[in-house]
Amino acid sequence: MLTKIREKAQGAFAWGILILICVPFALWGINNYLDTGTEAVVASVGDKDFYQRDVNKAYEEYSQNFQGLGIDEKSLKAQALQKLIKDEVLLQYVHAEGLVVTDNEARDFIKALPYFQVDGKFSDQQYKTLLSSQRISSSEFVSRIKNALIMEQFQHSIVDSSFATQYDVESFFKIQNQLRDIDYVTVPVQSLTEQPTTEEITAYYQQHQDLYRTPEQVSVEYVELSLDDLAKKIVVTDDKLKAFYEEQKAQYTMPERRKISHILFLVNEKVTEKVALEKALKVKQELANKDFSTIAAEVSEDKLTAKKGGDLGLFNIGVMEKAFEDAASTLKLGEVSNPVKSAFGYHLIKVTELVPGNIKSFDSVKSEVIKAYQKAQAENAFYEAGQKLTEMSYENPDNLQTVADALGVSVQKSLLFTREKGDGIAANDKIRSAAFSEEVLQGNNSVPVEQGADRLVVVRLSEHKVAAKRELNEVKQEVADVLSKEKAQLLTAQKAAQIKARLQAGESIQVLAAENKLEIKAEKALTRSKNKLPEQLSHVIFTAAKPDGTKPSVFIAALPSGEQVVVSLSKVTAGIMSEDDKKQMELAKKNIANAFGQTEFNQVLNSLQTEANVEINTKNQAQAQIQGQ
Amino acid sequence: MEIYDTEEEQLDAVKRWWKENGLSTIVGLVIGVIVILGWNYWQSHKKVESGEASAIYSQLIQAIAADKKDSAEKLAERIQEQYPKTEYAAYSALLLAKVKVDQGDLAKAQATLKQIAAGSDKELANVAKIRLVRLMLASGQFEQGLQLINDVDPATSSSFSGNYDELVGDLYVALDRLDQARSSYQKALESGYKSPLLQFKIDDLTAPEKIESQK
Repeated sequence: MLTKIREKAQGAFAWGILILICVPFALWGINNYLDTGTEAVVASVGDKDFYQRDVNKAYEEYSQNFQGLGIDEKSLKAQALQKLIKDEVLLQYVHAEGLVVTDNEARDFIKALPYFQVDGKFSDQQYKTLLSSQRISSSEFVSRIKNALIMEQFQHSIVDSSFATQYDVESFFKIQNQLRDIDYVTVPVQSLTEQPTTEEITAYYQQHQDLYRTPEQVSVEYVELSLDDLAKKIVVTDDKLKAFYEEQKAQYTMPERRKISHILFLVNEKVTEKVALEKALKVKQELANKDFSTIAAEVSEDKLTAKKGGDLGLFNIGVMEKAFEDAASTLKLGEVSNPVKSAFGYHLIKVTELVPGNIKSFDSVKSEVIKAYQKAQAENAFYEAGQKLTEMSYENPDNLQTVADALGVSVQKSLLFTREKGDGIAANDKIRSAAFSEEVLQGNNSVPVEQGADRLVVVRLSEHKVAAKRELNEVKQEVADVLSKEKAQLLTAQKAAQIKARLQAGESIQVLAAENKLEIKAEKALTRSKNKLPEQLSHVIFTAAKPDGTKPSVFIAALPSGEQVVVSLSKVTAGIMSEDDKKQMELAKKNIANAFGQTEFNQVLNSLQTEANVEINTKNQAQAQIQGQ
Repeated sequence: MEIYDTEEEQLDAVKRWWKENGLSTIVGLVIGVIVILGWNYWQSHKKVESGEASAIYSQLIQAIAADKKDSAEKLAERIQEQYPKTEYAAYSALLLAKVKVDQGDLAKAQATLKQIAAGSDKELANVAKIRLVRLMLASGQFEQGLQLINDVDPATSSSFSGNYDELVGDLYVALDRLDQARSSYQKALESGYKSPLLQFKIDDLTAPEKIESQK
C-alpha cells in the first residue's frame, strides 16, 4: 500500500522536452514544412493558439509513456491535448508571477545531461549535432529548458513543501494494519432438481433475442491487381537481362570471407605494455616452426578462444578496433601478423580461411536476374494499371467485368464473411470494412483497397445476408444451459441470504451450519495484507461494516466459482505500527507527504485552468483529423 | 481655425503659443522620459532581484531534497528577508513550514502557514489552509479545523473543495462522528476529486446494513 500511494510523479517538465530531443519523431521534420496559414486552431490558452500539428506532436511525446499498454489512440490524443493545455496554463502563470531561471542555472542543467556528453563530459559537438538533427536552434532549446525549469520551480514549491504529520502516518497504519476476527460458511453452488420448462426457455429466448442472432454477412466478387502477376507477364530478352545484370552487379557479388584466429597477451595492472609486447614477440618467433592453434591453446590469455585454438570465427568489419581490423584484413592466408595493440593488450593474428570475394556469373544467377528485372519493369506498368483500375471501376460502378477485361485479369469470388472475421481475401480488415461500406452495400464498386505496396483490390457486393434471428429449435439447449446456471446461482444466493438473515436475527452460526451441513471456518486477527483467503473474499471482509457493539456484522461475498460465502465479523482491532513499520517511518512520511503534495499540485493546476482563458474547438479538431488521414 | 496672411503673422502665432504653453510641454516631455526610464529601471531591477532570489531558491530546493533542515531553514529565511516582493518569498515560506513540521515545531509551522493563508495568491492560500488544517488535526484542534474550513470562501476555493471535504471527513473521524465523516468523504469522491487514500478511508467506514423488520 505504501508503494501504491506513491503516485507517478507528475510533470517532470524538463524531461518532457528532452524526450523530444532524443526520440527522433517522424512528424517533427515534416511539421516545419507545413503551411500553417490555413490551419484551424484546435485550442487556445490566452493568446497562445494550438494547431493540429501541436496536438500531434504532444501526442507523439505523451504516448511514449504508454507504449504497449493498449490504450486507444483517441483517448490518448484527448489526454495529450489536456496536458498541452495544462502545461501552457502553468507556463503562462509562472511567467506572470515573475519567476526566472538564470542563464547559469540553465547552462549547468544542460551540461549535466548525459545526452550531450561524450566520455562523461559535455561535448559542444554532440550538443550541436543533436540539436541540428531536430532542427532546433540553441537559443530556442535554452529558452524551452528555461521555461521547463521555471515550471518545475513552482511545482517544487507545492510538492516538495508537502509534509505528513505523525498523526497522518498513525491514521494510515490504524487502517492498514487493522485486524478482523471472522467466522464464515461457504454455500456451494446448489444443484437443480428440475430442468427449465419449455415455457421458461421460450420466455427467456423472447426476452433476449439480441443474444440469439446470426451476424450480418456478405460475400464479394473482386478484382485484384498485383505487382507479382504483372511481373510474370513481362517479356525478357537476353540482351536486356544482361544490361540489367551489369547495372545491378553489386547485388550479385559475394564479399570476401575471412576466418581469423588470435593469441592475446593481456595488458593490465599487473602486466605492463612492455612485458606483454616482449611476450608477444617471443611467441611470434616460436610460431615460425610451431602450430598456431597449439600455441594459442597454451599461451593465449583470451581464455574463451584459447580452447578453440584462438579461433575468432568469421571476421566482420566494424566490430574490432581499427588497428586490429587493418591487420586482419590485409594478412594473407596462413600468415601471422606482428603484435597488434588493442585496448585488451597485444594480439598475434592469423587468417585461417580466406575465400576471396567473387562475382556470380550471369548464367549462375540468371533466374534471379529475370525475377528482379521483371519486377523492376512491372513497377511502371503496375502504377498505370492502378490508375486504370481506379478510373474504370469508378466509371463503371455497376460491374467489375469491364475493368477486369481491360486489365486482362479475372473476377474472383469470396466466401461469406462478417464485419469482424473472414477467410481468404476477407481475412484482411481493410477489405472487410470496404465490403461493408455504405457504397458497396448499395451495389457500387469499392474504391481500390491497398494491400501493402504491391497489391490493389476492388470489391463489389455479391451476396448480402442481413442479421437474422436464430430459431428457437436451433438454440434450445444453449438457452436451457444459461437458464440452469442462472437458476442455480439464484438458489445459491437465496440460501446464502437466508443464512445471513437468520444470523442477523441472532441465531448462532453453529446451528445454521449444522442445519445446512456446512463447515464453519474461523480466522482470528486477520490482516489486510497477509492472508490466504481468496482475493474477492478478503476484499469484502475489509470493506464491510464493522460490528455494532457485541452484535457481529454479517455479509455475503460472492466467489467467481459461483459459491457464496456468508461471513460474520465479530471484532475489529485498530492497527498499530509494527517494529518494521517504525523503522520505515521516514519512508512512510515521505511517501504520504508526496501523495498529498501531488494531489494538491493537481488541484492548483485545475484552479489555474478554471481562471485561464482556455478554448477548445472540438469541431476543428475533428476536421483536422479527417484531413490528416 | 485662424487664417494668417503673412509668414510673419504665422511666426508670431507660433511664438505666442510657445510663450503660453512652452513650459508645460517641456515639463510633460521630461516627465515622460523619466517615467520610461524609471519603468525600464524598475523592470530590470525586478528581473535582477528575481534572478538572485531564484538562484537561492534552487539551493533551497536542493537542501530540502537532501534533508538538510538547518541550511534549508537559513536559505528560506534569507529569501523572505531579502526578496520579500518576489513570489519566491511565499514559496520559501511554504518550504519553511515543512522544515518546521519535520523538526517537530508545529506551532511555528502553523504561524508561517497562516501568513500565506492570508495572502493574496489564491492557490497558495488554499494550499496553506489545507496544510493548516492538517496541523490542527495533528495537534487535536479538531473544532478549530472545522471552523477554518467553514470560513473558507467557496468562490475562491472551488477547485480545492475535494481536499477540504476529505479533511472535514478526517476531522469527523477524529471526533468519532462517523456518519458525518462518511458523507464528507462521499462528497469528496463524488466531486471527482482524486486522492490516493480517500477510497481506503471510505472503505473503512462502510455503513451497517439497515435490517428490515421481520415480515
